[in-house]
This record gives sequence, structure tokens and C-alpha cells, in this order.
Amino acid sequence: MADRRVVITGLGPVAPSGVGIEAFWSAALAGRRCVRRVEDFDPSNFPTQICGPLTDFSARDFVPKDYRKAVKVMARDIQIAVACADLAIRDAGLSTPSAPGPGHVPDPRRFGCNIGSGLMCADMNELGSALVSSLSDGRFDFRAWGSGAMENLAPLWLLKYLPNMLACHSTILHQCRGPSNTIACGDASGHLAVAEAASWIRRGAADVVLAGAAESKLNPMGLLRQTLLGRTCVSRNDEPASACCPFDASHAGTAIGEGGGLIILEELKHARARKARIYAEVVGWAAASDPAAVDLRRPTCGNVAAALRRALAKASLAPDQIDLALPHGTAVPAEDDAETAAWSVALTGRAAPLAACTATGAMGSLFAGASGISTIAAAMALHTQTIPPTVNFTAPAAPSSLTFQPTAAWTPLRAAACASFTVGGQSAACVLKRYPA
Amino acid sequence: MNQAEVFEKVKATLVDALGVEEDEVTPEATLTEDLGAESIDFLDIVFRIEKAFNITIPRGELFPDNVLNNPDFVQDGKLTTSGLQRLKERMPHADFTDFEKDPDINRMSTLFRVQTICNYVLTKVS
Repeated sequence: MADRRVVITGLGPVAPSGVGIEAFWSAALAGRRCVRRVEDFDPSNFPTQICGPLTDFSARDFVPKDYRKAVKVMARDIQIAVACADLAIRDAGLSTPSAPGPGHVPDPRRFGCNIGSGLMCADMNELGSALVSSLSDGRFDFRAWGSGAMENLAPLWLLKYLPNMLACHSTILHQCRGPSNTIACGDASGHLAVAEAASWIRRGAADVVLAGAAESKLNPMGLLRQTLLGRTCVSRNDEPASACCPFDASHAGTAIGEGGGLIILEELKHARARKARIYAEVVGWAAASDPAAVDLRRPTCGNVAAALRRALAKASLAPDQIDLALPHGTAVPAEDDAETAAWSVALTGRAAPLAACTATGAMGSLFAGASGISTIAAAMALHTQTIPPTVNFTAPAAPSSLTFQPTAAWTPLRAAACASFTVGGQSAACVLKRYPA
Repeated sequence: MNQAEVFEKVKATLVDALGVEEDEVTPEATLTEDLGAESIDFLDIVFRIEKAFNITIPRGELFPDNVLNNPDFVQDGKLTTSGLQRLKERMPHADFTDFEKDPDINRMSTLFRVQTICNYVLTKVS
């Protein structure tokens, strides 16, 4: 199976900046900034009151009418993934039961799915009544929780928050009967999902795979967790659009966001036989970790240097054969610094600085969804030979081998490397190549 | 609470539970055929009706169970006279006029209409 190559033929982004590849990419090139004050709930008691929300988004628009009742058992993360899947499949010119069209109908047995998910947040309105019923003298009582939860949580509650439901609904809707997996590895999930999906295709287990990740942190519980971790920007509630500044000297923490990206990976001959549009080739992927991350007081970037070096080695590319970097860029100062140093290590031997871009400044952190979105941005950058701008960047926080541009730049791009990492110490990297080279 | 108020609340509940449009929820609509409910949805509907009206619905009272698996009540795919009698006792809130003409168990969905839920709720809240 050594001759099986993996290409990207469909892109399905759902991001605060835009839903669908056209809206997403034009917003990216324009440097549209989407972080604003939280409106979905009252944030006034939180030190951070800003977010990157999806606007006018409804998953009902992306499922057949007879499937709409399932939307009630989809947490926001699942709804985003279901929309991404529909968009990616249609963009790839594929025809499935849920996205029928004139295009190619993939063989269900050779059609796989690998979707990364994050830490899903329970809806406070649902969980709240169960919690209140379990209080005894103002304190949480585990004995009361037994009956309190049973009586107050909807019977289908659990189905709404299972991390494999992103893949579950997508596979049911689109009749994917090939390999299916869910990767729940925080922010690295999307790149790990793309990596595993690419491996399936290369070794002959599937011809077409839906892959990527989605997550929403736009929830009081999501904001609370990030606040307690000290990762959010607390000083710029009055200027949300410019609050999140990855790698910039003024970086001061991240903003919670929501979104995701799924792509269609396809075996090259399969794609060519149906005359599919090919955005880019996936040539390298790898994972790494850093056990030191168990100490949350010492932020790491999950040894992303090792993930990048292994992915480049798998791609048989030297650091100077890469023309674009898509770092994770959380805008949390210590994480940015660790990631900056990691890229320098990974790029050892390269003479010139490497052009880079990240979408975190424009839309906040999409967590697991960010690695889906960065894969899509890498594919579009190679396909259009364009580097999107990085908003909210003026001067580097630390000496860096990466350079960010304030406006879009048209330039020859041979290959792009994306990376992501988790607070828990895992990392992943994917390397994409222009197609045709 | 009058019949119209109960219907409006039941309608809103079913719109949420089944993801249907408001105008699809008519009193005559059957839950399975017209509104697309599956067995697992009945659990959810019962829970939502309990919360919406602040009532308790004992298991099997709104949607009876343990009738179809009793051989005294079902023969050759049809409810027997005693089966039909038992079901009528268990479901005083359902309209049997149509169903008893041909008590084929495949036609039982005709008993589970939006109006059936409204009738049941009315007995509980009044």
C-alpha cells in the first residue's frame, strides 16, 4: 500500500468568522475579528467576559427534516460537527443520504470517520435543577444526588454529552460504514484525527474519510474551567476584538470560542478517478507528549517540537522545504513562549524565518476545533498560494523563528506544517503539501 | 387550566421533544407516524410533560406497557376482546373509535395522538 497517497478534497469549517469554506476564507483573508462580549449568558461575575461565538448558527439547517429531533440530543459541540460534516461532504462533491447531490456516492464500506472532540460542557439549565435538588443544608449531598439526578435530568441527557456522538451522528447521517473513531485529546484532537484517518487511507482500510474536530467552550462551565486554569485574558473586557493576541508582546491570555473543522481525506487515485478538486496532499503526521505537563503551574506545549520533527521526517521534508507554519497560538503567555521555543527547535537548520499564521487572535481559542480549523487554513493557503493575516500581532513576545503578517500575502507555498497541543501535555502535528507539487 | 391552554403547552413540549414545526402538532396528529416519534422519544415526552405541567406520571400510565407481551391479550397480531378491554381501562384518555374496528397491533399508533396526551394531562391537572 506504499503507493497510496492521501489528499484533501473537501473542507467544512464552522467558525465565528464564517460557516462554509467561502465565508470562512474570505473572512480569514480580510482579517475579520470576531471576539466580542459574551451574550449567551450573563458573564458579569466572571473576570473574563469575552468570547468568539458562532452567530446565526443552527444545526437544524444541516440535517434532513426527519433527523431534526436528534438535534435536541446534540450538545453544541456535536451540532458544530454535524454542520462541518455536511459542509465538507458537499464541498467535496460527494453525495450521501443526508447531503444528496449529483456527485459521487462513496462506497459506505470504504467511507470512514474520525472526529476529535474536547471536554464537553453540560448545559447549566439542565444540570442546575438536578444539582439544586441534591443540596442538603446548602451543601452537595451524594445520597440526594442519586434520586435528584434521576428525577431532574432528561432521560436522554447522557446522549447529549458523549464525545463519540460527533462521529455517531455524522456516520449515521452520511452512511459511513468504514472505520470510525473518536479522539478525545483536548486541543490536539483534530490533528490526531486527521493523522489516524490518513493512516487508514494509506494502509488501505478506507478510501474516503471524514476527519477533524469541533468544540464549544461558550458555556458558563467552559468559561469557569478556563478561568480557574488562569488561561483567559482578564484585562481587556472593554476591547474584546483586540484582546486575544497570540505571540504578540502584549499577549495576556486567551478568549473562549466555539467552532470546528472537518475535511474529506481521500486516496489520490480515488479522487482523480472522480475528477475531484484537490486542495492539498497530507504527507506527514505525528504525535508527542510531555509528562512534565502534569504540573499545571508549569505550562508546556506538549513537546510539540518532537511532534513537528517526526511529522517532517515522515513527510521526508527538511525544515527549509516548509513555507508556512500554523502554530496553535493560545495567547496564554507561558504557552506562547513554550510553543515559540518549540518551533525554533523543530526548525533547526533552517536559514530564514518561516512565515506563519494563526486564527486564535481573530476568533479566540476553538480548543479541539482549532486543530480542525488550522488544517483547513493550511489546505486553503496551499491551494490558493496565500498566507492569511494574523490579527492582533504587532511585535513578537520573544525571539522567534516565525514571522506573522498584518495583511494577506500571495507567495509561493510548497508545504505547510500545523501543530496543536493540550494543557495536559499532548501534542500533534500535520504536514500538508501543495497538490500538484 | 382549560383544554386550549393544555394543548398549547403540549404542543410546545412536542416541538421541543420531536423537533417538529408548530403547525404539524394538531390534536389528531399521531406521535409516531405524523410526528416521527420512536420508542426512546416516549421516555423523553413523559419527562418533558411532567416538567411542563409539574405532574408525576407513573410508569405505564400515559403510554401503557405490558399489554402486548401478554398472550391472553394478543393473538395473531390482534388484540383479543379481553386485551382491548384491558387497554381501554388503562387508557381512558385515548379515543378507541377507529382502533377497535380493527385492533391490529400495527394500528396501535392511532391511539397515541396529541389529543391523547392532552386528555391525559387534563385528568391530572383538574
